[in-house]
Amino acid sequence: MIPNAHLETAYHELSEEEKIAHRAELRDVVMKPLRHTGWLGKAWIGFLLVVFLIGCYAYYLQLKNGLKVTAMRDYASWGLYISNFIFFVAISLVGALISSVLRLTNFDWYRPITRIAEIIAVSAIIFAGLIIIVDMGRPDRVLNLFTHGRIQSPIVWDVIVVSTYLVTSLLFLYFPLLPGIALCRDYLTEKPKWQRWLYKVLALGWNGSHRQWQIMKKSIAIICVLIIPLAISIHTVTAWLFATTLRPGWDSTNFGPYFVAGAFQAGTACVIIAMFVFRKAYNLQKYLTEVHFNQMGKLLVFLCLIYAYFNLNEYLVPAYKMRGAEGKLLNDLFTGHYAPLYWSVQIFGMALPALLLLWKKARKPLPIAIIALFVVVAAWFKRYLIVTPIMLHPYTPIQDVPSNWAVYFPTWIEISIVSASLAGVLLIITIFSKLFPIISVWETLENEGIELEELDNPEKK
Amino acid sequence: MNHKIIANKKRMKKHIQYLLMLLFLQCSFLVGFAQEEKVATMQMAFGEVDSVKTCTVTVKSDSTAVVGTEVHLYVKSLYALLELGKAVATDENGEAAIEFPSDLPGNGEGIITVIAKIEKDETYGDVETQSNVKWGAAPKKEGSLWNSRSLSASREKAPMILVVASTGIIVLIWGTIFYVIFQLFKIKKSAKLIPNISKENG
Repeated sequence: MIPNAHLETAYHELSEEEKIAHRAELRDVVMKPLRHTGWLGKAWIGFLLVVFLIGCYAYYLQLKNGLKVTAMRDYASWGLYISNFIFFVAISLVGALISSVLRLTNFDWYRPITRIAEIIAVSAIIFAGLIIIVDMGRPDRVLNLFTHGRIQSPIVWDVIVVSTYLVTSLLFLYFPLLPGIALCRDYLTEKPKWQRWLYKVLALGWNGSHRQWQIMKKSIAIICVLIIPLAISIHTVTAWLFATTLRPGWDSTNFGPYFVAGAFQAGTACVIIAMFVFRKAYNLQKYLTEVHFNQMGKLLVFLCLIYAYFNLNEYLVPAYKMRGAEGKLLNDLFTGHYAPLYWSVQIFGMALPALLLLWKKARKPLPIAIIALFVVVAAWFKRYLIVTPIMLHPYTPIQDVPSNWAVYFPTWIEISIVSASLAGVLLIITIFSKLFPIISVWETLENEGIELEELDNPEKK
Repeated sequence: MNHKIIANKKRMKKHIQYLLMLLFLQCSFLVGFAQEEKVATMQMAFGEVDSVKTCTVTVKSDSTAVVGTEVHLYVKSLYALLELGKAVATDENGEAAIEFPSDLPGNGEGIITVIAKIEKDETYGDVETQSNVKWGAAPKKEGSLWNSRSLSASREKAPMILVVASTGIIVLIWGTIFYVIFQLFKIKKSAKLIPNISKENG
């Protein structure tokens, strides 16, 4: 991939006036969705709010009556909530992949999509933390994890790494957003008082001085390096929550990289869908171009193939041995109760996307968005398959227990709460995109060879 | 018609009387010839034969040695009885010698409760005796695990390498995070020093 290869105009050859005009054009495009919300946008927010509130009511019932309102029992003590937790942690990794890995490896084409990736990361990690609390029988004791936690416990490692990744992701979103907030502060003067106050406080008095650019870019560079090991840690530790447990299907040394590979794949697919929606809804065709979809498509093929490799390791090696309880679990996945879901996930979420996206036509915005949707849905069910069947296949056979302990199907309360968490993630992304520019103006311009810092500080040249 | 029914009933009564008589005779015969259950007593002795720990059980009935009766030996564990080897029949002296393993753990003082049993014997029924012997392997001092640092210990007893490594990583990462947060204050501070350069921020 050649950085900036998609550019039709050599912006660096533009005159000063033309650069300023180009910047003004981009500014107007990204500010437009912040000025006005159409009926479709309002309906979308309303729908998400309704789903979220239904989930809040379901959680109230769970708090009131206890976890018995869920389908979780002695054997399937982890169910939909934990599956959803892994899914959120997985997609949160995309912020690190898009904004950090591609930045450090000197790719530039990703610049207009960094903010989309970062806000997906932040919203997903917020709800990952919340869904864990939902899974707790006594959420009022959540602070005990910090005050009485044992450092030997993988659950404590997870609490530490999730909170660290959340703070780092927020900083990774905030620093590059500073010039954008200042833009809102200076141009969205017609907005309500609270919103103008918010912009003023968050902009930290940004005035585009050389010193401020310098501090901001240095800080971004530090976070870029910091966030990669953190992102890998967060999902590796999540994988260890399972791998350190002696259960068929989880007792694997492959679990850390297997989870990380799956996370990059699912997160990239999420970004592709978000790119498609924002491009259509906010008329960003000029900045989220077909080139971006093409590049993201190639990236998704690469990640699907890596994930397929880890899946081969994870399933075929134990399947060759078909040993005891693990054999029973694999039979249940390959040909038994879970076979339709298992094969759908593997085929529609991994094999077919990798195959279809080899064709350039499939990497056009609409086809790739549809393919990415399949990948994301399959990724969610994949996490369900990682948790539930294994809980129901312990090494000690399930005997002499009530019949409903040996099966798991989530109750409406669990489904409502999980739907609310998904709606919550989308709500954060939507509201964010209505408050702040979803495309980073300065990064997009930099990608096109226009240094905002130079424009603002002519003496620097 | 009624006469017939009454005659049948009388015949039935007679049959029942015969049957009861037969049953009585059969029971009397069985009781008369049945072997009377005798009382046996057991005594345990512990000693070493050729450096092998051996438990010798002597079975007697009316001061006479009981020959050929199988004796089972058990040790008492937390929830159940653990049988030691197979049952051994008593010899002409009424003695059954059973080898005792040397690696059985005892209680805190190394004491093991040994139980000898004769089970469902035709002559003696169930007979049992028990005795204590200080043959238990020296147990590890209770609580030693809790006082040592390990992955399964309490939070205060976490392995030192884990405490040092995790604290080091947390301090390093959070130190960097606080440094980056401090940069935000520097940006705010620099804004007060330099007036707004351009309204055309990005």
